Amino acid sequence: MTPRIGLIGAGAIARDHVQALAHIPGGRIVHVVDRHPERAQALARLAGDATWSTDAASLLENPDIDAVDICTSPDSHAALTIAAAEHGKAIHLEKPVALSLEEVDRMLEAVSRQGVPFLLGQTARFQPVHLELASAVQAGVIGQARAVHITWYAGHIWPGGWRAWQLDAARCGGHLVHNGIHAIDLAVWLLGDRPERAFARGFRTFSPDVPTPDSFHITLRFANGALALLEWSYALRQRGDLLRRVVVIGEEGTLHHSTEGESGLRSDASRPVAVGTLGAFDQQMRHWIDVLNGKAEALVTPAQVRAAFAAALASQESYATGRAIPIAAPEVAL
Amino acid sequence: MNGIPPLGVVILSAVRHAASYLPVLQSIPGVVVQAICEEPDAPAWAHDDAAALGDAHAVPVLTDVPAVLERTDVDLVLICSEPVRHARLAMQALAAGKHVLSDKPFATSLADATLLVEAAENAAGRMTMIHRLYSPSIQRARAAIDAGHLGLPRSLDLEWLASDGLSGESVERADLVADPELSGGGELMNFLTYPVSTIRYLTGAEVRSVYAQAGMFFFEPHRRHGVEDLGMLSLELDHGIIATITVGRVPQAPAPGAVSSSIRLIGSHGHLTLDEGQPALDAWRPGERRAIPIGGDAGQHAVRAVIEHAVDDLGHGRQPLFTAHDGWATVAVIDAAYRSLETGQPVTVQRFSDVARAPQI
Repeated sequence: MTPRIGLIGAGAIARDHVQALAHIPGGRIVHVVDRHPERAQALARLAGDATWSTDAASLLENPDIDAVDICTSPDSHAALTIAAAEHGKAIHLEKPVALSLEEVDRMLEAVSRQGVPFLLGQTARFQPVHLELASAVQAGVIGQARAVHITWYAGHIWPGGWRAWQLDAARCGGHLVHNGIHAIDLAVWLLGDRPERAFARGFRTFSPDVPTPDSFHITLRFANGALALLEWSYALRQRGDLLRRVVVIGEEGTLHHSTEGESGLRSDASRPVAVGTLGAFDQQMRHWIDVLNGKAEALVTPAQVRAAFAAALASQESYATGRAIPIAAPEVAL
Repeated sequence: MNGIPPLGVVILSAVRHAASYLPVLQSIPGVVVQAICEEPDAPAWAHDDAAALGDAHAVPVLTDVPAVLERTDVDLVLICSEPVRHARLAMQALAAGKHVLSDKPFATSLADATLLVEAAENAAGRMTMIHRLYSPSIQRARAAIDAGHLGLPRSLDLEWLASDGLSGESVERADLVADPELSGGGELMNFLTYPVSTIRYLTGAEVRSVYAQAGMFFFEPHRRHGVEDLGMLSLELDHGIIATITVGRVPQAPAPGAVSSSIRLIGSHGHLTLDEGQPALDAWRPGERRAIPIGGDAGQHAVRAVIEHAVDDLGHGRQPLFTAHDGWATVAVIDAAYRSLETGQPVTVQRFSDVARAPQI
């Protein structure tokens, strides 16, 4: 029986999910929910013959729905995830997981108690370059990994001008949380442990009045002693410019990838793309379908979800206070 | 003979890098390496190193340091001891009126560095240090900044990693970089001079705050002596510039040669990436790929250039590119990094004006 998926939230990310799922066998979106009827209807049409509504509660109560894909804004993640778990639905949740650690603990507790499959959409893991990196680390190409250095620079500022939701920490959790979590999650995954201390600095490129640093770096120390240095910047001069680099240093060698070494399109009509990152949503959705069909365990584990989120919050606090922030171990082992 | 007297050089202790510096000195027209000198109470292995080097290059090996420093045919003293002796030997040479070129680090404590700066200020001779600022790609980056192409530098990321080399390939004896009694610290003490001097050279800004984290991951000598082999640092500089440094010794740096050194600099009006191993030819043979740096190895080029410039500047009484105050500033950042490792928090970097003795009236 092909799992029947209900999609909650019909924004830009949801559209990416629908497009990815359209050509992946083994799962089908049958219903779309959004509080804006026109958005729900438009995405339901894009998903094929899906129905639509503006009411998430009735979707969760519908026994014909096997799984939900939650693509709403972060402030609604906790309530929807817990309700979905309690209705026995398998869950795919867009990142960031929530806005507070207390919410995350309640969500992970509900998921664990109900025993439902749960995948957090840490899309960066599914970028081919990172799947290959993790695979090489696991294959022992460099021995035990001890340090990760990630550089992500772009010429970018959020769409929406001064209305951009990313400028509002109450809605996004802060830039070090909602974007920092991408790189933090990669470090947690590649180094195989929990960060125990975070320190961050940042700067504002385009206006001194931007309420959050568009550029920042985070340094993490892990419980096993491993180190991470994670850089994120939107400050490249040309909109669409891109520089991505990752180095993983192990006890027997080093892995390195940089977009500077990639071949690819150079055209007046298009800015360069990072070839090694293409197709991540496809990979992510294929993996989720495998999880739904019992063919794979969720790549992003609950312990990693909590570890990365706690580190992201600590990084944001470090940026705000100028101090290094210790990160407590979870009270309940995950 | 053109009548210009040669520049006489003495190598004062020859336990580190002297074997690579000496041939460079001997190749410079007008330079005569008069002697290698080791302190009488130095360990036997230090005397062995001096004797071996002297034999290999037909240079006399002496042990009476005061007598050598009094010689009128000695103008410049090159210090290649283990790091903990750098500052004391440099002060001794300056006090004798000689110019000094010291291996890095400038000093292994901020107190020593301060004494050395004061000695240099009151000396007839001038002082400089081995650095890599003459590396061609660093010179090109500085030129791009000076030309305004990058606008105002806002952030820098430097990754400086050496590949192992502890079995004699690039480190003469592992304890020279791992035993604090000789090295003064771990790989932060050994290498941090390079990225810090580069950051100061490119930005013209001083480092204000340092947060450091480090690990003892890869090498038995480092574990045995309890010193770090890898560090990751977060810096804040003047003008709100931020910088990150990854520095250390690892099993294999991400480059074909002994060192991988790369920089990413974001400016208000452009960005720049720099790999000291580039440009390079890729050389392919069955089962083998290696890089042939175009124009030669950047590190060797930088060392040759720094020695040639030092000889030229000091010989002509000109201020060198890298002064004793620059040396002090690099030690201040190293000092801050170790204090940060102890406290687990960012620490403020000392300024020379904070620690220098008040002028004698």
